[in-house]
Amino acid sequence: MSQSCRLDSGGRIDRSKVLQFTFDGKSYTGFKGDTLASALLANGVKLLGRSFKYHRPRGLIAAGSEEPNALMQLENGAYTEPNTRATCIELYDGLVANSQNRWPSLGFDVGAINSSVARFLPAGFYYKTFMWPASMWMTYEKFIRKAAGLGVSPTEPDPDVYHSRYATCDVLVIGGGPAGLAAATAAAGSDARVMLIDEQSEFGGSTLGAAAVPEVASWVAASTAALAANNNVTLLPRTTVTGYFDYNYLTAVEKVTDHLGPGNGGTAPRQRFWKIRASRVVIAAGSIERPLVFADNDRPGIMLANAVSTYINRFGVLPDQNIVVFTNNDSAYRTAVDAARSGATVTMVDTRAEVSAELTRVLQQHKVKQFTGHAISSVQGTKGVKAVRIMPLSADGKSLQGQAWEINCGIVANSGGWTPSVHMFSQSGGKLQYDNSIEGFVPDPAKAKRINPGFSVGACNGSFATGDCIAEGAQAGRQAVEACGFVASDVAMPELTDALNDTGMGGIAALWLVPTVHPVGEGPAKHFHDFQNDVTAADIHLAAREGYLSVEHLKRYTTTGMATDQGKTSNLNALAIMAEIRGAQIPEVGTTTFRPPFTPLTFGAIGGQESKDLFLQERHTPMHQCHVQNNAVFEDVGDWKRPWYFPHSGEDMHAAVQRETLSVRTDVGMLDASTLGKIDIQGADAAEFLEMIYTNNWKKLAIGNCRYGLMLNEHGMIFDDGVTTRLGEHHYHMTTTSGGAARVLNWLEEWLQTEWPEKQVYCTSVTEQWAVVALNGPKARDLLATLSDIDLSKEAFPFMSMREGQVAGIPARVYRISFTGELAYEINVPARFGRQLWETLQEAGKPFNLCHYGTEAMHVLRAEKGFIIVGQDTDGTVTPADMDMDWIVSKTKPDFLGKRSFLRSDTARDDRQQLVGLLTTDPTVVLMEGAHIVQEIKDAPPMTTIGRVTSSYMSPNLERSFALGMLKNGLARKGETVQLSLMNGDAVEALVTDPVFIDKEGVRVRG
Amino acid sequence: MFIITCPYCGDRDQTEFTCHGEAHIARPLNTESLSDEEWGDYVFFRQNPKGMHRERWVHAHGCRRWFNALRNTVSDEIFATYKVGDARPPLPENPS
Amino acid sequence: MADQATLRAGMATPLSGQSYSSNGITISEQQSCDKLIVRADFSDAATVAALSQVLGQTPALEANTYSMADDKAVYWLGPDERLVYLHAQTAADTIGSVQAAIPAGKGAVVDVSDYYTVIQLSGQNARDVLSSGTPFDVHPRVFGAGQCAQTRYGSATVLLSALDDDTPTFNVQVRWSFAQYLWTYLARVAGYC
Ligand SMILES: [Zn+2]
Repeated sequence: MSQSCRLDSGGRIDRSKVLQFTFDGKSYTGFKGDTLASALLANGVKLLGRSFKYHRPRGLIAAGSEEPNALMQLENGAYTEPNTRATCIELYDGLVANSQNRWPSLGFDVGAINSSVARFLPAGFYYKTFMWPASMWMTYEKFIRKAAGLGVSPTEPDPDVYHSRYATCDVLVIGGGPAGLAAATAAAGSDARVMLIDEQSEFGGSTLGAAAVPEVASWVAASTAALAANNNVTLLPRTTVTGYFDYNYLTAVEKVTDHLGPGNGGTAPRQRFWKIRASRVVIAAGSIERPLVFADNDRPGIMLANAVSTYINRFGVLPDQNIVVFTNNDSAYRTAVDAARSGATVTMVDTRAEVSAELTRVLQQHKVKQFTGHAISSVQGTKGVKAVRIMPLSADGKSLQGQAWEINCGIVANSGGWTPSVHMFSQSGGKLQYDNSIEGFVPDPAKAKRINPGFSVGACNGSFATGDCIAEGAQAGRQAVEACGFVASDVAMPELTDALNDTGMGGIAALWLVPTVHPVGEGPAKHFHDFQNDVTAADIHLAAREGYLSVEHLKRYTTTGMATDQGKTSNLNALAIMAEIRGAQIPEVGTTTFRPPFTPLTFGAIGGQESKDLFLQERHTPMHQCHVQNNAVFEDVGDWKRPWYFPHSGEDMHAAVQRETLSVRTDVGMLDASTLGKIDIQGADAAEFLEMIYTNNWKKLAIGNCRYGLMLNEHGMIFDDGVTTRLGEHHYHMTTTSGGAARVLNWLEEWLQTEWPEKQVYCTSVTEQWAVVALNGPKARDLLATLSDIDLSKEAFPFMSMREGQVAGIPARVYRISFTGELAYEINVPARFGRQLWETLQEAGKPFNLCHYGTEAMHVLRAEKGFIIVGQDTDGTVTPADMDMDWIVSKTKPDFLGKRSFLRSDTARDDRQQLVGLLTTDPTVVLMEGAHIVQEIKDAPPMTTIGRVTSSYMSPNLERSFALGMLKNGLARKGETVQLSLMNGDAVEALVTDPVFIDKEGVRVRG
Repeated sequence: MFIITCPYCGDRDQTEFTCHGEAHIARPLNTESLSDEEWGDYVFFRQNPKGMHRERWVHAHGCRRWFNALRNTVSDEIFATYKVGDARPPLPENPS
Repeated sequence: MADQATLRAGMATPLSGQSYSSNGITISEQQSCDKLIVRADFSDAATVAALSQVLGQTPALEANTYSMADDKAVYWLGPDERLVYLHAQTAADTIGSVQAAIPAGKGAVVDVSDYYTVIQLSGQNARDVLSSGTPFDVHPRVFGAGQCAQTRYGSATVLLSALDDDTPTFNVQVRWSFAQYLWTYLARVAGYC
């Protein structure tokens, strides 16, 4: 199909570069420089989608990112992306696009039946219908999602890569139109760092879509070139500022290779997410034309006037030979002239009775027929406009009466005025004020948020004339850069001679709702204001009747402004219609707060490089490579990758863990314990400090000896535990849980710095300084003796002490502490020797049947001894007494953190849940961790819960299953039988026991 | 995303810091002699005001120092940051 | 027992000294050196004088700076905290004399030689690579040679130091356990800048 609507010349397209693309399976051609929207329009394709609720045929409305209708499913398979706006997709060769929200085809859509039953789908329909009963919501939801779905998410992993980065600048300019270019030019030139961002592929803003004015075009080109040549200026075309956050922190998405087509970007990222901190922000975001709200104003071919101009001027596309321009302000006269110059037959329908003689003269010059004081009363054609009927408008604008005219046309270019793009100012926390002269909200500089200093200039500030935009931009750029301590540059002004192009919007006479011969909502026609969410003026009337009068209620009740376009073309119309209904001024109805993102963005961009292997920060111990070579299966513990178990060939997890667990109690095993948190504590008051931090006594601990300690928070609940060793008079080595290291260090520092700053205590994290191998088992001493010069005899090196010496020739600190209840040594060497130590032990251990064991076997071994894991057997509501650990709580110390809370009635009561052992009647049943112990088994929940399983394993040493759990009044219930209710509905019986299952007397550990 | 002025390191991105709630809460002495209510006040109860709030922050990814900030919880404007032990800066005349 | 030579052979760094080059940037793990954390009252002239004697330089007194002389560098980490690079494996020989320079019980010296490794970034793209992971502004106007800063890169806490402004060169010090993560991150974004 040839490009039937393409003009022979003109536009910013390259007619020598022909690009192939398909839409809904049909092939078309376009040119380099086209958007998908302009290329479709060039091919005469006007029907582009179906509406959200009524499935009405829809076509293009806009030429920019405000487009509500032309949402595309772009590309296929892994590259597919839903809800992309055809107006924002730069055409590339081979592009594949499909329309959305239609089935089975765009031309014949089954869902369109919604349209004929429209009176049953008013605003609030979903709420009213599906609110009750609540249990049916899950059923309704599927139906709603299917019927009202937009595009389809890809199901395959995203093959693209993304980059996110930070940037700091002095002046950030949002928008590269005349105002933004002027601001950037004024700010640049000295050493100031300036960033200029625009969502289009070229700078120039509104001038790109306007009829060529050589003076303006050359000014834009020269300004852009000068900025590009400046090393301190960062120009980001194809970039959209998506969010404006506090302290001038803004985010933007740069489409780096999207315009090349999927897979054509080479190694470059598809998109780049910018996180920008700016001293000053100049918002030059322009404005968005809003449609007139008239009967059946959603028919394909009814477009915004400036969009028609843009398609003509920028893309060389005249969408139809017969064009009606419908306006309430001067700006659309430019479109009439643009279309007439391009050869179209143009009719101007102006709702205003009085229009300047100059405009009328210009129309006459271009042979445009003009109707003033008229309005469109109806539209013929459903899948495309065929004709419009116009009638004289009453003086008050409330009714149509008199001679009707029918005008054949394929396009209605309409303008209800221009709405300043105040999104960024609003996101920055600034408040808006209503400007009656332009019928729109503009930023109120007196109500800007102080922490977000900046300026709004040009059309987004209500200044539409090119000259005003440049002057305002230059002024703001100057003030912004001077506020940062730099010298501003002068901005040259172009000669502006074309009055029609440079005067902006001109006199607007608001007409918020164009009447028909029927009262609103009663005729067959619909007056749409929100196209993407299919909301009509009648819906606003309904909302008002039902009492949803404030803008926030109106919005939620009708869903106006809540679609992916965030109501860019609809918000003000909705407000104004509500104001008319209420007989109120627009500011009294209020305005909605704009929230990020300005336009939809991909999760890929937000994530940037921090996905897949960089999603979480993996931490490795010095022996990590040894574990990989030893075939370890890893477990995530905090951010650490810890060996979970080391399967031999043919072993599953259960077999490996059972073997490892047995081996430690019969021979000897080694565990990489490097992840344990380690804190070096020094200073004259260190002992006194530990007395406050831990529940037990520390002052009398001898140098070289170790002690287990519990830390409580001020609620009296267990917070962390570990072994601390006294290295010297004022020197301690504290260990914490692997996951708790940072939390504990913070805890210590917070107390030291905020409560006891006078204390001489210095804490330094040394977690990674030391590689730690825990050697556990009856043969641990014999094995270690082959490698160490330390006297390992029971007398010289007793349990709970530390000795320094050499192990495998490496300087080491060896702690005789045990988390398994076996004879054990924790060998600490500087990290640089960790791998050497591991490999040496591995070789030397062969005669002793040394095994590697992982965290799962460690968990079984410690549970067999009733040793708790903070965070698994405790949950922040557990006191030492609950753990039957009264022995570790000093009765003599005057104070320690958490002590006072023991006296609270809730912590002091004796029927709290307490730690017990659990042995199922059937020894083969391994309870699920988290299973509930219940008062009494019933057929179905609810059952009264009296406890829960916290740790549960199969033990090769006990030759049966066993568990630890918390049970109400558990300490007094040992020997009783309790019932557990499992998720699958089964009931299990278990005996309550002591939590220590092996070597209750502690003979092995002291051996 | 705030910029926070660490009293030691200067202006830094908020993500380098962690907030630890209300500042100037002294741990009572002689805890044993407090009533449950007095102890509960110290452990559990905080002002949580709408408006000016003195709060404790730590420069977690930086110098690891604790300090206090005077912040308007509505506008998120931080009027002052000051070292632990320094005199409390006065409330601003124009808080929002 | 192993002799010193065997010991040295067994020494490892988390990244085995690897190096990566692409357009406009070289990333390489630096040779390891011993490091000490020194906690002391740096507002006390006598302490500073004694430490200066031992370290051969007035240790950096201003926030966000480091000092350097002979074979040692001293980085400001906090008001009462400095990090000393010894540029050799001499922690064991040095630690006693540094301790002696601080009044007993009123400070701390901790050997953290193996706690960290240092990755160096050098080349025209070095600042872009850094800005891909840290919000800290590394523009030479605010972060020039002689300055250092603790901040975060991705999810790792790092100590950045600026070495050269003309050929942008930075050291990134990171904890051993985060080294592989940081390396992967740096090499990945180097390809995107
Ligand atoms: Zn700091």
